Amino acid sequence: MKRRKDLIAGLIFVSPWIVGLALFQAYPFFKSFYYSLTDFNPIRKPVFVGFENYSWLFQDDLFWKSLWNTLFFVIIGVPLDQIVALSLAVGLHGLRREKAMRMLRGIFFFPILVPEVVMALVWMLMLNSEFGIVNQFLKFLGLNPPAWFLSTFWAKPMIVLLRLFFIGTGMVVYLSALNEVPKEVVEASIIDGASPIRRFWKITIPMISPVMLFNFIMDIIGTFQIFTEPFVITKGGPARSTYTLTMFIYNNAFENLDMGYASAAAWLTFAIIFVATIAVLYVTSKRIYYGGER
Amino acid sequence: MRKFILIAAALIFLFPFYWMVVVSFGTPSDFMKVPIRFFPSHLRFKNYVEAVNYIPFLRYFLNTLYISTLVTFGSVISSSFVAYGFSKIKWPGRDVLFLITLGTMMLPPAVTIIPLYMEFKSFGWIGSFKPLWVPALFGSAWAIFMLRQFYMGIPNELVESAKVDGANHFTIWYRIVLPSSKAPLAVVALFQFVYSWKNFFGPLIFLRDQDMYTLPLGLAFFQSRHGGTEWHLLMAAATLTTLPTLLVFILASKYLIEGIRLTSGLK
Repeated sequence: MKRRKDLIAGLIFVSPWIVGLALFQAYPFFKSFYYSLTDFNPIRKPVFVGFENYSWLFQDDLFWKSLWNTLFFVIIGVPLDQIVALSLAVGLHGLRREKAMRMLRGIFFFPILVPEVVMALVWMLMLNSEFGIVNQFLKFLGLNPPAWFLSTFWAKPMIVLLRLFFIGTGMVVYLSALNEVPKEVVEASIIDGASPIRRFWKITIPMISPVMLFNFIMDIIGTFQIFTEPFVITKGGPARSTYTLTMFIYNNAFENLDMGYASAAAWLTFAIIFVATIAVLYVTSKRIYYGGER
Repeated sequence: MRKFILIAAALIFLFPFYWMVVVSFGTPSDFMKVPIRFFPSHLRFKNYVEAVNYIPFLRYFLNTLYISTLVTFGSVISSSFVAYGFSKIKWPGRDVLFLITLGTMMLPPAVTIIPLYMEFKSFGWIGSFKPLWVPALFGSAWAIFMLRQFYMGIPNELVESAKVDGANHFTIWYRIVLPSSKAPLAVVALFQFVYSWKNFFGPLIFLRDQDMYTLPLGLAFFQSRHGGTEWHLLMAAATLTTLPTLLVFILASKYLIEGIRLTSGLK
């Protein structure tokens, strides 16, 4: 009797979420797979075409290009983000003065609260090829700087650099993980005469490895969906060199109104993110330290 | 050495904001001049007056505020209610549903956006603010997760003894749990507000009319539509857009940082 009462009470409390989950997550999730099997624009009814959209995608150079660009952001950007986030956290962790630590932490954290559009616009202005302050400065040094966002070579790396401003979340997570490393272990290794570098690799890194995995996965999932920065700064150019998967989906769905095709691209993107996440979990499964429990 | 690197990094992190403000106070060409001027010659406050007309700033500000406020209140109240059901009542299926809830956080918005668009279109909501705030009334996975973690820490005895006194779950949620979780509710509210304020993808897809744009959308479009961007005005508008987030940061950065730690499962 009590069990039944609890079930009803529980369901009443979570009922708003069940409705939300069904309407705004589950239904669209499955529906988009159905759409991916159809020829469909918003005015016409969807026509079932099987896996045709997928086979078109595999022959679409633009899809491959956007996949390659997105992979560039993930493969170059994610490790770079994590190195910077961890380095800053390690630096802050070692600061003696609490006040200085708090202030610097705040400075590194602040950009994630700022709209990406604002950061992107400022970055665009700073890196303008003619009058941007970066190029003015480089010219002052006697260098001949490239036209960053007009160059198919430089546009991608400059977006990677912009995204380094958004490491605040990861840095905070690393910082609290570093605070959790037991002092006794560190002290014991100092007595044993381990050098700081050795100590970092042999003690700190294994101790914070679960958190590293968490940060890497969150960053991989987020970077696979990169959209706002290239959309605002380059519109995917020059010569589609910053055109990403999410831009491909957006353009096909809301500009070409080819929603079946866009849905297929969305599902492929989802599958790629899923496989990448599983692969990272698998590769690292033997190397992550969970406090002695297996 | 450590201090030197940290300070250098901090200067790099601050510079874009510094430059944004400098350009916003300069003449239309101050920032292009050689040699570089790191300070504006004099503070042209009239840039700000022009900027709020250059883009319909007040309008976009009110639009963004309207959406963000509804999202914040809606999602905090509903998520707290739902989180109670995930933490203080034991019922079969609860943990499975909670896992599914966590799973939805991994789902890329690009996958659901097309059917959502069609769904909202059939409701007649495209071009209105509704697609941006109504879903928040049903809870947000992230907020539910955060609040549930906190409620798990509230002693069950408190709930049990209230029950003995004849209180039902609703009264317990309203009279005991809500008042004792003001701090986590504030953290969740701040994050919901900031993310809604920053949101670009949602407004880009669902809004039609230029009068209804949010600030991020308005800024992005103004830049791309006018060939010769008036950078000093755009930077003034960008500075004004950043101010509310700066305010949130100054008032509450401690709680925000605490909130991120909780999300990652650390104490």
